[in-house]
Amino acid sequence: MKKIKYYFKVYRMLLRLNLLKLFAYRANFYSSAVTHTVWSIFLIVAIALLTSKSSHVFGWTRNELLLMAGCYTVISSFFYFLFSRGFTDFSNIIHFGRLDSILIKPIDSQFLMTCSHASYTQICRFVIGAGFIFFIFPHTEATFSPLLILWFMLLTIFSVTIMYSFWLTLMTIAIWFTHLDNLKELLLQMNQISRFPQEMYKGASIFLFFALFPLTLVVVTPIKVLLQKASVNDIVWLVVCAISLFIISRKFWQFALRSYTSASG
Amino acid sequence: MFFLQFQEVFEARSRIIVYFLLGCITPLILILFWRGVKTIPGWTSAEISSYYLFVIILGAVLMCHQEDHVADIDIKEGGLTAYLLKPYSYLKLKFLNEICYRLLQGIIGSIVLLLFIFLFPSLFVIANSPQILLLSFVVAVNALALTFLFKMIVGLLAFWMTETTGVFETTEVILTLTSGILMPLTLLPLWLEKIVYFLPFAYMIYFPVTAFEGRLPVATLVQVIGVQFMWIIFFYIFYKNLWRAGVKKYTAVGQ
Repeated sequence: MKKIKYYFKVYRMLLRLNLLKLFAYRANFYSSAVTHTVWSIFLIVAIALLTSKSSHVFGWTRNELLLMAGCYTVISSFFYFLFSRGFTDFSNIIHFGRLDSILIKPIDSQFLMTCSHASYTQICRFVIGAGFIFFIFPHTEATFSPLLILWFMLLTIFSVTIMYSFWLTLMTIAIWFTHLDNLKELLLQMNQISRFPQEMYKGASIFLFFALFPLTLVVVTPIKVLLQKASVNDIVWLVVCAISLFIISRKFWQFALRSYTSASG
Repeated sequence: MFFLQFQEVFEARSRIIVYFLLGCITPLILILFWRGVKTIPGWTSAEISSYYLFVIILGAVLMCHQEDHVADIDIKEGGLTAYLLKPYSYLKLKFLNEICYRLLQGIIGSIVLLLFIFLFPSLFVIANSPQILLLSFVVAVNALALTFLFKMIVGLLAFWMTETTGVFETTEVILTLTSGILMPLTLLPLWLEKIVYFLPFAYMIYFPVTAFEGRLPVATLVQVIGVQFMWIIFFYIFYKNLWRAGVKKYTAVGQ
């Protein structure tokens, strides 16, 4: 308990430092805010265009798919706010041997590597996503209740955990292949898998479906809860996947550290 | 000169493979997405799959990405000074460098293409007339010149801006929506389709892809080549003016 309190205190301090940095580099802040706003709008517009000539895709109505795009924007905004900037520097820290200084600090290396930066401009993404959810939700067949929002928020924690574990596992590969500084770009693209219906991958190949299964739960399960279509199984799968992937990614990071050879890989 | 550039680019081959994979993800997801749509107006399932496979290959070969390097390394960090001292034009050197990247991506793309044709022959539709294939090749070469000049112009904006990420990302979004990367332009709402044909972006990906698929008759291909030439001349003049004005502003201190 004492340790958790200590980590919270450190994290609060890191958040404050990040905020100061945000005000110090204002041009960077505006540019970043524009980027996130443009991409969030794009994600929604893309689905609107893709479904402009079809009313149903894999059994999902057009409005449900648009709601899915809004939910993806909100869930990914939490993930990017908390971890994206940490993962941006990840491979460079390893490649240039800066991990040395992190390993000798009296704090968990995984925590420092992934949580030391917050991306405040992701708030733009959240505002657009949340605003769009409130706009499109009345156009679906579901009925609104505050309890649904609570459930959605709770499941978002597990969704973000899946995304985090997936990213950590793949980024850890940089310990062995230090030149792979564009792995983050690949992961950004792979996140897109979660913004489409699960059934899409089921029809393609059973192997592909199982390989991508955790990612397909990230948005689909919370949205099923919002639409009152989720079963207990759906929720259990999300929770089990999140916990087990987190444990696996943690173990993998600890295992990879044994192969870390310091400066320039 | 070309071989020196190629050697430099070849060093980063593992990164190039990752970049190629990056370009594959969205089109592959979209192939799966369209499988869930009952009827796609004007397209068969094979044609739509083929369209996205061509988007992967031609996107890798034709879509230049030098704007980050131009802005960050050359203009902001002062790397441009070394180019200014050389007896070659900056545009030519950048083009040679970019061609090497496109060539390497093209080799990877061709391997993937052959693999797809071998594994899923029914999913692949390609023009069978030599005349159309020849004209498609011209369309592709023009598209490469077009994307290269466009990205150079975008990169040169760094002469006037300290932070360019926002502009670059906005450009990327516009390109994805209007160049045919997201979906065939004929599937866009009619009002948007009409606007998109007036912009240069459709001539970068959509027309080369549909040309190789054999969806465009000879007359349309000739018309496309004409419009591409017009845009190339426009971009070239624009680039020259921007370059002249930008170099005057360049202080080579590295920001």
